[in-house]
Amino acid sequence: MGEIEKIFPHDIVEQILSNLPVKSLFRFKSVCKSWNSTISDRRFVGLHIEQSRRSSGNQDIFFWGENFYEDQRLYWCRHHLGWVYRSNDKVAVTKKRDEFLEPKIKFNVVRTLDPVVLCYCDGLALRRFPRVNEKRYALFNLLIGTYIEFTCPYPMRHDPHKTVYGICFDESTNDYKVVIIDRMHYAVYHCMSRSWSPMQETGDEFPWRRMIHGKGVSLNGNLFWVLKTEELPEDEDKSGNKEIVGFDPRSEKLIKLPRPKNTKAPLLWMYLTFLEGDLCLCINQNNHQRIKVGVEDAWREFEGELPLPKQGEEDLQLTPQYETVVKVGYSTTTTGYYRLPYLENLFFSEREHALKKKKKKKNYN
Amino acid sequence: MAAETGTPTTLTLKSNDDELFSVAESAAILSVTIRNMVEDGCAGGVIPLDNVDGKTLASVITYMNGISAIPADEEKKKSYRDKFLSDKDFETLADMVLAANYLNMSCLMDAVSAKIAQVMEKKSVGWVRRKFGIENDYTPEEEAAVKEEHKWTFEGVETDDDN
Repeated sequence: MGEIEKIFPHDIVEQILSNLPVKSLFRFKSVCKSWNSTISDRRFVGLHIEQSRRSSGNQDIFFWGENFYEDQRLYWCRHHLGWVYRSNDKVAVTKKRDEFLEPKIKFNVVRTLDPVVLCYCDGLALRRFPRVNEKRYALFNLLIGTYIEFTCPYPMRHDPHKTVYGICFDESTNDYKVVIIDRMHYAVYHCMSRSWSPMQETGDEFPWRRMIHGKGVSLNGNLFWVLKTEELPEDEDKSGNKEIVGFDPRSEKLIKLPRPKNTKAPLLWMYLTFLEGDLCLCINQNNHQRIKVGVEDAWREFEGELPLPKQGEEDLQLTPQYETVVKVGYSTTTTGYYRLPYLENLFFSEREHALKKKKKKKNYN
Repeated sequence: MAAETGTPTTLTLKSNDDELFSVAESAAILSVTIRNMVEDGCAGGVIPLDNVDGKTLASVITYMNGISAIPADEEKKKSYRDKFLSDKDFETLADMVLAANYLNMSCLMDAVSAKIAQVMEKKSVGWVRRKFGIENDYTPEEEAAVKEEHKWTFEGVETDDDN
């Protein structure tokens, strides 16, 4: 071909490939055997998610439909300035690039699974098999539509009002972990090594007497919940009955995070969501609605109209100057679409996790 | 490391095809390889860079001067990098990634890798093999099987532009 053959060291090839989206990487498995095995290699898959987090900074979003009645499809768009909701089929327009991106794959309903997504993280979603006493779960790669299945060996049954879920990423083992909490106990599943940690008690400092609000919120692999505790008599500063709890992926311990300042009781409600790649705490206090953005000590405060929690995790966006928060006109309860940070993720994307194989074993429908 | 007299120290770099380049030490030490030489006191006279040709070295030095002239503003540095790499073709980028690796310049390495990925994103398998000098070691059956498995990824591939 007349090309001067360049010898790229393997680590340079890996670094270049780690910048590619999943679709290109899957295509380039056909380049040669060594690229194929590199792209499937677990270490590379970890390198790729690391790069993916760094380059997107969780700025991109995608939409996931949890609609019971229609086909579940994956939509996504690169998000910069904003977007408008159109209809169930046409979801998003970015104002900046003025483009609507078609779903990468049309993702059919997996009728054998409960349509409710228990939690999300990095383009992964946890769902469960629907029978009441079933403790079987499926962790999806939303982009590819592949999943792994696992069954909880502990006596933790799903209760939509009591059981709490979350997904986090442990950098030290290069693995995703699924956390299931049923108030007094929690169990952790190691998704790549396909094993469970022993069930642990949540401990006295985490009195899970009430449900934790909403789904676990994962940001860059870390996991957060809002914990509603009973008001304790020793709570002298009356700082309210809700706290932010984090989960350390490596030690598998629950951690109390410093409460943002000026969030004293009575809090009418408080919940976590995302805003432009930051963890966002929405607070309603004495009818004074506020939003705090950031993590731990770095909370910045924004004034703005807040969505009501009963309307679901309604979407928010910051104006480009990051000064005010405006509400975007749609909510998950009316459309069934969630707004999630979008990341290209190769985990659990191999064909052995694919649905088709499962279908061959059992003839569903 | 700046000269105590207040005049900026200049280093002389030599490419593998014997071209000589003068560059301010403050810009050149973006390369950890060069910085180590300077710190070890091996930078007197001419610094030979055996793995970089003159054309690539000239380009790398343009980058060194450009990026070190920008104050600590990550946004501006990023837009400089984007602009710097915007008109480079694959061959130039490939030379640069190898040079950045040899010179141990992580910011250039990251930027060029990302740019190469951007160029490759919609390319065909054949294009990638030619550009990377890779020989197809699949049997026709094996290759067909791999392609079949990931059929959806072959939609929207650009027509090759290098034939």
